[in-house]
Amino acid sequence: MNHLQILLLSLSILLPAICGAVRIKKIDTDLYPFIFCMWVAALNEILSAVLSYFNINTAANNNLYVLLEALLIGWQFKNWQLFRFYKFAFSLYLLFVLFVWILDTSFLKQLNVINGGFRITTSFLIVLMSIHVNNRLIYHYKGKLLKSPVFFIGTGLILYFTFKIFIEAFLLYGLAVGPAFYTRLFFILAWINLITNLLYTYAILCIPKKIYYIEPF
Amino acid sequence: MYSKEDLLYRTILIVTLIIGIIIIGFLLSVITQQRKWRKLNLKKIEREIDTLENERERFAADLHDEIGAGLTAMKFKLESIDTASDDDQVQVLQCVHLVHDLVDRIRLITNALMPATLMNNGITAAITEYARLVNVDSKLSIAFESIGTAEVPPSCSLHIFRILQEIIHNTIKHAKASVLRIELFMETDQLIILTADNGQGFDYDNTIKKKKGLGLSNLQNRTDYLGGAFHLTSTKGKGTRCHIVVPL
Repeated sequence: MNHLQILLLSLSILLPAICGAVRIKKIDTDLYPFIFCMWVAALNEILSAVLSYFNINTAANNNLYVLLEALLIGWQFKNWQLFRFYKFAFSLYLLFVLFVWILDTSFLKQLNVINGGFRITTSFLIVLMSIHVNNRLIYHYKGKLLKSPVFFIGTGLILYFTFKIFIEAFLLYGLAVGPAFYTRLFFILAWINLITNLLYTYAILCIPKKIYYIEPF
Repeated sequence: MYSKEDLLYRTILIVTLIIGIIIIGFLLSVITQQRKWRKLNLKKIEREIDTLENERERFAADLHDEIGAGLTAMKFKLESIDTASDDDQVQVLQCVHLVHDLVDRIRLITNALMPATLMNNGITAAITEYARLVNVDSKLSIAFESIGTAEVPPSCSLHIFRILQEIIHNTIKHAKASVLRIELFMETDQLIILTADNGQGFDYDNTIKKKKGLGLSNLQNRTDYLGGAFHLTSTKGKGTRCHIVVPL
């Protein structure tokens, strides 16, 4: 178990990112936020790998990434009509995410320190929203769930962010353990990351082709 | 002996595995429940549609055989009346015209309930005829185009006809459109139905929210019954467009 293994597992994000790039013109705009999120995640992983290679702290770019991730996932949920029945729900979500990020990154900690509080809060919100979307599919989705991209993306989000809450909780106040322990902890998360990225890749491949309409004249 | 760190790591690993198993179990349960619900829902739709179609068939037969035949007989009787005064003759002629109109109306209703053309000549002929009748009878002008739909099995034809009938009905009743374009064609092993009108459009989300869209749910149910997919887009002032895919 070493950093190289963790890096290779984390770079599995390139799979959904590349699949997204290949398919983006053929699919509906509804799932664009998710594809953008995959691209941002892939870029962040590559940037983190480069920075780590030169022994530079990756907390700042990761802190910015988690903010973008929370915003893009929120936008995705908006496209899935999660906020449809509450007029200001999406705006409230955005404001809340920004508020917690600024609070955690500027007042409680600094930009170059991991913002654990923000990560746990947004992960919790994302898990709740994903559960809601997946449950709604039981009654509203007419096709087979095993071919539904929404179901697989929702499942990936539940899986990854549940474990993220769990792992981040250990990092929040710091344990009296050595750095080797944290590497092992991240190794668990990296495996979960791989499983999630495989789910995302499958979901992107399941996205149906763009619906086209005709004009009356 | 294990160090404290090792023990903590093992505990985390076990908890991680347990959470993973719980999540997988939960998702498998969701998939199973959805499959059961989907089958139940499909059976319910199947029963509703079958009952509706049987009723329509019975109603159409009663209209045609009893009322239609009675009115035709009445028309012949009226025509055979030999009246002495011219005024009476005019009255009788007016009655004959009225009965004639009634017979035509009943034929139209019967045809809408159970289209004979659909049974005899297939989906393209039935929609062409229905569109022609609508073009004559209403302000809506329907432009219908069909390519290679001969392969549509008769079991599907009636439902596709009903879907288009519902769309035409909705366009006349709600859209205030002057033009409705309908395209029907095959794409590999799927039938694609595309429609577009130039009407006032509507707020789809709001209609669903207020549970007003009975016609919309009929369209959705028919498409589900055929195992297809129904997509609709509508913008206020910019008309309504449908994309329906039916696997054959």
